[in-house]
Amino acid sequence: MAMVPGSVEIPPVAEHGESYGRMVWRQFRRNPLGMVSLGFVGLLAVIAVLADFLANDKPIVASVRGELIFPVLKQYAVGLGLDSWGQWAQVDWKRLQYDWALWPPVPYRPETTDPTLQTLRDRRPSPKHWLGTDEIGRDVLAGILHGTRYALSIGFIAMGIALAIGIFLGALAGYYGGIVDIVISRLIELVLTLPTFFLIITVVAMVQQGSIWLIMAMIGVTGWTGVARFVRGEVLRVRAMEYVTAAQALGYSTGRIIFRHVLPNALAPVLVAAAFGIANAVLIESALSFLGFGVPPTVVTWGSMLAKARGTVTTWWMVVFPGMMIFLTVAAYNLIGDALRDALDPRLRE
Amino acid sequence: MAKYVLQRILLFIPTLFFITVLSFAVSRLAPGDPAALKVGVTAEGGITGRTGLNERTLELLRRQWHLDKPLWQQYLFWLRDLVRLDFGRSFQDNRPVMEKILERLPITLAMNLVAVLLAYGIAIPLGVYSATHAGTLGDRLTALLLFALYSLPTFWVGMLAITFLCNPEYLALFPTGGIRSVFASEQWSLWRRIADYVWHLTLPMLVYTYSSFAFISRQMRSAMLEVLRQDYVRTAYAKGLPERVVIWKHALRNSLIPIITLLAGVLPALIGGSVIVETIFSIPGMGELSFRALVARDYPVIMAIFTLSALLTLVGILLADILYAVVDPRISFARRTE
Repeated sequence: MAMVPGSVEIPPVAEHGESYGRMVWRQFRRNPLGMVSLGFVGLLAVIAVLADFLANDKPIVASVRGELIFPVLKQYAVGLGLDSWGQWAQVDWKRLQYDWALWPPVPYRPETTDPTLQTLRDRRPSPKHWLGTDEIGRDVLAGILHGTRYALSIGFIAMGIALAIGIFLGALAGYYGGIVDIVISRLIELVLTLPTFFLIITVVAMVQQGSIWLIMAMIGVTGWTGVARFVRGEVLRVRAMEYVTAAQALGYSTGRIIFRHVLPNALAPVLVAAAFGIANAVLIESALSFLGFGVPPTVVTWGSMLAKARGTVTTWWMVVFPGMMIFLTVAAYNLIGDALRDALDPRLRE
Repeated sequence: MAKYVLQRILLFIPTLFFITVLSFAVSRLAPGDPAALKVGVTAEGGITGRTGLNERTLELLRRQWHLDKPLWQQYLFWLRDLVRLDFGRSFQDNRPVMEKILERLPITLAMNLVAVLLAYGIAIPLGVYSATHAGTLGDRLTALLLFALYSLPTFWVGMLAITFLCNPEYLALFPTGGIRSVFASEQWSLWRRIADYVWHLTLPMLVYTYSSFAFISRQMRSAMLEVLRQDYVRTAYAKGLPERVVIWKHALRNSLIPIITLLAGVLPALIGGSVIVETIFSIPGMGELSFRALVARDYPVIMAIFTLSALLTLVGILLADILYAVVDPRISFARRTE
């Protein structure tokens, strides 16, 4: 159904035989901001996967004294315990005599410090360090590229935990009703009254060895209420439908009915909550790192880079670039959530 | 109405219980034993290691803090102190925790109050405007702006403001922190003092408020749109009432209902945000106090602030519930929620 420019918009009714998922996707595609955002998150995913090839202090492929080597790939092999550095263990890759070498576009790792930088002026963005460096000479662009991994994984893992809890409790409450529903609904209200950010920050500070996993778990454990409410409402609605009664009449087990018959039809709105939840998780983690309670100091995330700019007001590049990435990522997830909600809203579908 | 309020308050008792248990549990997360920590802190620079003197002090402290009793008794003792608002003494300077908090509370409460008033004061008219002009260029621009504001991380905006607006290298329009000038004197006229406060607090308040404001405006727009579709609004138009009356008198009241319940979510967000904003702009409020306490691992202060902010949130939710009943009389007529 190609749209000719200037043509009358065709009302989006489900075409014959079209699945619900396809219909939602067709709706979603009509939202340009939503599509751009989806593309942006896809780009982040590509960067996250390829980070070691985009920013690294070793060449991707090089030839040394006639021998062909793949240092970045070797790094993975060593990391997995399949290989050892051997003769390359003490090598300074920057000074090695190469026949030829293909370097990553950013020839630094986020941890590499550049000792040649002396003054503040040297640390500004320059042809050598496109986005500048921090106060001990670590490249900002390398940090941003590698930080993508944390930004993405935090969002998805934290939201994964929240989804698991929320779907499970929401389905129980919606399907069984009665006392189960009352107990779970009270629990949802309880968790909603907690000052979430303060709770997370307190727990992370209390447990002295804060780790990225603890933060993800805390965000997930406090962030499931929205999902649970959605699922509960949807399951309540779906449960009253005739096909569920039919499934019950056929003697299927309750577990099978909930997971195979009820949930698939109740899950669509959960995606909306998930998109907003991921945006929130990214925000919470970077706020924690910004305040210095998040990841250990050796880990470079967007939030922890921004934290470096605190205290010194002259390093504007440390403020602008990592913060811009956080903003764009959060905005992209929020836009995806908005577009999904519109795509799912039956009122817009006539 | 009175019955409804009473019912809401009764419903809060289990929540209250849960929060105190959670606070107590979190306080036990601290590694090691608080007595040892305390001795470690006081012995700093002096005797370190486990000398006989330290052992005796530990013993005394454990008894004083009831650490030698079973957990449930510890909880009850902690609860008794909580009711008396006695949170012990700060590890940092040995002052009573409550005294430190009371010093800081007014500024944070004042900032919260102004933030809530500002957020609602701008969001309601803006939301009404967007809803009544839905689809126009003005509405779309507002929507885009609000969306951007909603997604902007507070700490980034704060840092940008400090870097570019409070920096002699670029624009030094505002001071970098504090709530009044260091050279402020008692001799200044009232106006001059107020102007000084405003000059210091403009940026922090903007940063503190914008995200709740953007959030509320978006919700206000959709609530108003929902109401404008109702039959009674069409009736009001049909009987010839001027648009001003229909919107500001008939439609507004109903569209406020979902907005008021947002207060329950805005308050905890503001409490979390105060840590960030007060830290960035060095405002001596509760948020900055908790930041310092967290950095220094000053457990008594951290736990006191955590418990108090949970209680404050609870009060905020109760307030939202009551306001909800005020704008929507149907609620107080014994309708069970959900």
